Amino acid sequence: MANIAEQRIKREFKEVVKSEEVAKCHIKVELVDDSYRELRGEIAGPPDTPYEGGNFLLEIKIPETYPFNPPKVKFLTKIWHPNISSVTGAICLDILRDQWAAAMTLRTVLLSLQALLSAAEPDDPQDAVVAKQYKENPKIFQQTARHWTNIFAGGPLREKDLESKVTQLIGMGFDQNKARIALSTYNWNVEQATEYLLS
Amino acid sequence: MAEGARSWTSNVLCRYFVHGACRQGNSCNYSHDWADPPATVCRFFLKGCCSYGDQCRYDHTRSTGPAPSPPEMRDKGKVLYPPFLSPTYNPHNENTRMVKLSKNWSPPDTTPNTAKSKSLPKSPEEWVKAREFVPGQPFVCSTVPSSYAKAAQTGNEIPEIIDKKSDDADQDNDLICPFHAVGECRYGENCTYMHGNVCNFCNAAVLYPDDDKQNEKHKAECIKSHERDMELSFAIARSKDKICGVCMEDIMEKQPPSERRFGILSNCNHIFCLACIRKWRAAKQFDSETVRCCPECRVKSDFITPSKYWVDTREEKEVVIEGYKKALSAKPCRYFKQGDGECPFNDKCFYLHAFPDGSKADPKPRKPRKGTNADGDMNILRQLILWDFLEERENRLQLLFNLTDLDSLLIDFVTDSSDDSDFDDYW
Repeated sequence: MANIAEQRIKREFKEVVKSEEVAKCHIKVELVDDSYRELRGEIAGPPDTPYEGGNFLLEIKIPETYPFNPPKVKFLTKIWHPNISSVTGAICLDILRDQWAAAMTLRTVLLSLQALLSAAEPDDPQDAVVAKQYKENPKIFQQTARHWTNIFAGGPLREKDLESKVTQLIGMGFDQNKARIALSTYNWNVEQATEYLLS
Repeated sequence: MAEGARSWTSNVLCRYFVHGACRQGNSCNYSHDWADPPATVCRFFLKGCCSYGDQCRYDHTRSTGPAPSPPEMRDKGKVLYPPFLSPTYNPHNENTRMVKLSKNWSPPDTTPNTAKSKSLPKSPEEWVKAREFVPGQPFVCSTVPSSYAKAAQTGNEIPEIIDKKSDDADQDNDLICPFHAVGECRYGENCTYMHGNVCNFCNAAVLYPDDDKQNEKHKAECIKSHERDMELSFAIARSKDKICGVCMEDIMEKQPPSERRFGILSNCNHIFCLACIRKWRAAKQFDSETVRCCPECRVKSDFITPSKYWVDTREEKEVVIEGYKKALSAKPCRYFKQGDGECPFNDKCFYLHAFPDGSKADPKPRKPRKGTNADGDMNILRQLILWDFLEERENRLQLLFNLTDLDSLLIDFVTDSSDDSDFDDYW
């Protein structure tokens, strides 16, 4: 790894560890190995959002040209969000692409992601299905997101209706995750989801 | 006469010949015979002030032994003197004062006085009073010198140097003692140099006690240098603990020290080291608009200015930017290539656009820029200069008038003149 990238990550590490946001906003960065090339980030779901109470793990890969190129970040924890792929965890955020600036740090990236969770951009979606639901059925979107947070990110709020629907499909012999994705996609319409799963 | 002129020096070894550099060759007034004695008596010794002492390459002999008198002269029974030794020599006579001693030098017409000179023959010892011939030097003699040393002193180059030296020595007494100026002079009161007064600013004893002008000048210089020092120390203090926003290192502590340079953005006050901000702005993976913005605040700056120290205020920044532009305008542009190439920045370029002969290039209008609109049509965007527009318009009008003249002529020619009025109305 280029020297400057490693040097900077080391410095940033101290910054993130030291900063108050770690305590206040619950952002965290950990090393995966000693290379400083791959990091594990963690952000807490912001309050007053469906993601509240959840902890979301992030995979951060530092390119050799960092900080002149953005780090490659994706969600490891499954999340239901218009700008985050519900399948791969890929993030659509301008600062991680063409609007990156060399002065940005891991801290600002994690804070930006946290902000993204509280303010989605459905007009610039990463996951079209989620974005459509977000726009057309905001209530169902909220429920779904809360359900996903509960299931994958350890969120405290349970959506019992939705859980029972998932259990229903599992009872029909479908895979749990596939069933959940199908239900989420079809606005928790069991019939449509079953049709989709059978096709 | 020429023969006579030669005579008194022809037995003295030419000193240019000795060094193999006599330009006169066979016609030299001096002897080119190694057997002849050279005129190498040290003039400074004669004056009593040769600083080389025993090491002097010239003879330190006060011998005023007979200078070889020209035998042919004696044969002729009359002695010819160099002009100033001539008994009739009048130093105040313009004719005799400035005589150029050259190879065809002829002594002033002394024939009427030969009888006198015969009666007053100069002893051969007097020959030493003869002035040394220095080719190319004007022969100036204000008084009849009483000795060779004196003769050598007057109007000759070396004594001039001595004079100068002695002048310097006089001035030395007026010079400030450098030891006393910075501390203690061990000669104390006995020092030949002046012990100046202490300047309040620089604490050096460099003020002439009785020269107010010098004191004022020195104080002004002191204040100026003090201000400069203060500015520098402020700049250093300001530059301390400044962290580059990109590499996050303390810029003044970067290694190697050559990296300790700031890249000043013209439109915002964010801190970057020069290397980082240059690298960021050279990044190809982003839009050029993105990289030209400050990585912190995204305010666009058209250029960055390298600076050794950090500058905060707008005024300071302007000074730095102006200095940078000035320095760049002296460097030849590598795109312009002294006229062989073409610089895309043209008159906006900070670098020098000059031809090999040193003349500066006229700023040319930029090349037309091409743009494609949404429909895919090519637009050629040209810089419109008001003058061009006016000129073109004028030309068009001119043409129009010419045409009307022609038309009216034609019409005059083919139609009856009575139709003219109608035609005018029509126009």
